[in-house]
Amino acid sequence: MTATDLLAAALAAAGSLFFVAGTLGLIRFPDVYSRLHALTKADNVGLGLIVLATFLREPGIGSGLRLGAIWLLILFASALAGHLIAREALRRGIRPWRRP
Amino acid sequence: MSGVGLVDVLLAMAVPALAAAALLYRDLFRATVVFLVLGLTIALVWVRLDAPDIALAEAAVGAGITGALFMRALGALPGPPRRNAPAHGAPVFWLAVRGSAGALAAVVALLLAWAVSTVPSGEPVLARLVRDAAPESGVGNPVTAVLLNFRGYDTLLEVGVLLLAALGVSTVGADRHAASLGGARVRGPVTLAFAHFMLPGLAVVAAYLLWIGADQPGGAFQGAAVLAGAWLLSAFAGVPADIPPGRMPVILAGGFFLFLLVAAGMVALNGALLCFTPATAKWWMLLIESGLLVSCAAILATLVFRLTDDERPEAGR
Repeated sequence: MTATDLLAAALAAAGSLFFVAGTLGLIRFPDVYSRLHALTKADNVGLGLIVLATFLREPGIGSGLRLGAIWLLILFASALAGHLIAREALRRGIRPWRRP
Repeated sequence: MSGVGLVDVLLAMAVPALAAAALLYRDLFRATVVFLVLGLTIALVWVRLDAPDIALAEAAVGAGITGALFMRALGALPGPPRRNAPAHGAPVFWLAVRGSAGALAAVVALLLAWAVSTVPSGEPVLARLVRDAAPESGVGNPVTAVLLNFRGYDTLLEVGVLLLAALGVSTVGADRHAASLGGARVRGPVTLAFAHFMLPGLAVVAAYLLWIGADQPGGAFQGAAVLAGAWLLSAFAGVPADIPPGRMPVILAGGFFLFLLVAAGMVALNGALLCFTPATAKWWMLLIESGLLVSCAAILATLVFRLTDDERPEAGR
């Protein structure tokens, strides 16, 4: 196992940790807005770390560009999905949670 | 593929659990979401089974397009959308329907189990035949070689079936897609900006999948699913499609007839239907696939648009 492999494994593990944190937020947070906040932010960072780890395992200009494109596309898509869900929730009159 | 890992065990447990959840949830929205997750999980199973082509198709068509179809159908259902209405008719009737469906499913499951248990070990004969003949096919991806060269006739007929399905849906469904697509809920500056940003990229991705399909996992059908997704996105975002009314049938049927034309042309050139020579096979296959890419995307998009005109669900029913 080389240093690159170790670094890739560490990045992938760190990325998975962000996914776990985001999922924990999805399950535990009190309302739709805070759940979205947990998911969209944590998962994007987690995905970025995993993309970096994959790049270390599969280096090169072509694969780097493709991996970067995948990350960017998912960033934009999840930002839009979060925006749409939050907007629809607001339209339906769901009030943001406040500490009781 | 080396041995069975923890991931495989988790996947094998997740698939039946998700399938059961998709069937048993009373809330149709939840059932649809679980169905989407099921499709993506099955795609992962295909990856683990060393079948990335099927994984791509499953993710794009099985989860993506079918999920969109379900979601749109759900939006078009009358009444309170999140409630499963009680079934009409006598309980005995529904018991009989469910009983026969369950019995049928059990028989199919038993047959499948029997088929799996009787598969001979070692490399399948067909896989060896394909590998041995691969150099003559003109492409490096054995799946593409089978789809468009060795068994091109099957694919031709399958595209014909797809086309018939789209034509059937166009005849039954109302003719007001794209412009009237109920995008009011998702329409807005953010969605529009996203569509403007994504549409060129998605077109490039579709073309890339088509091109890479010659040597690696990918191909016209996966590309078509991406293109159909782009089509849906533009409709949801309110980007006008600008397709003249008479042009749509041409786009729908063009791929099939181009395929047919090439097939017939090969009779004249090489003496048999869809008989390519190794030197030029790749280019003929790319030509066929380019037609299929656009037509299949149009067919998939038509299925979603026409099956669910949720603007006025009460009209004409």
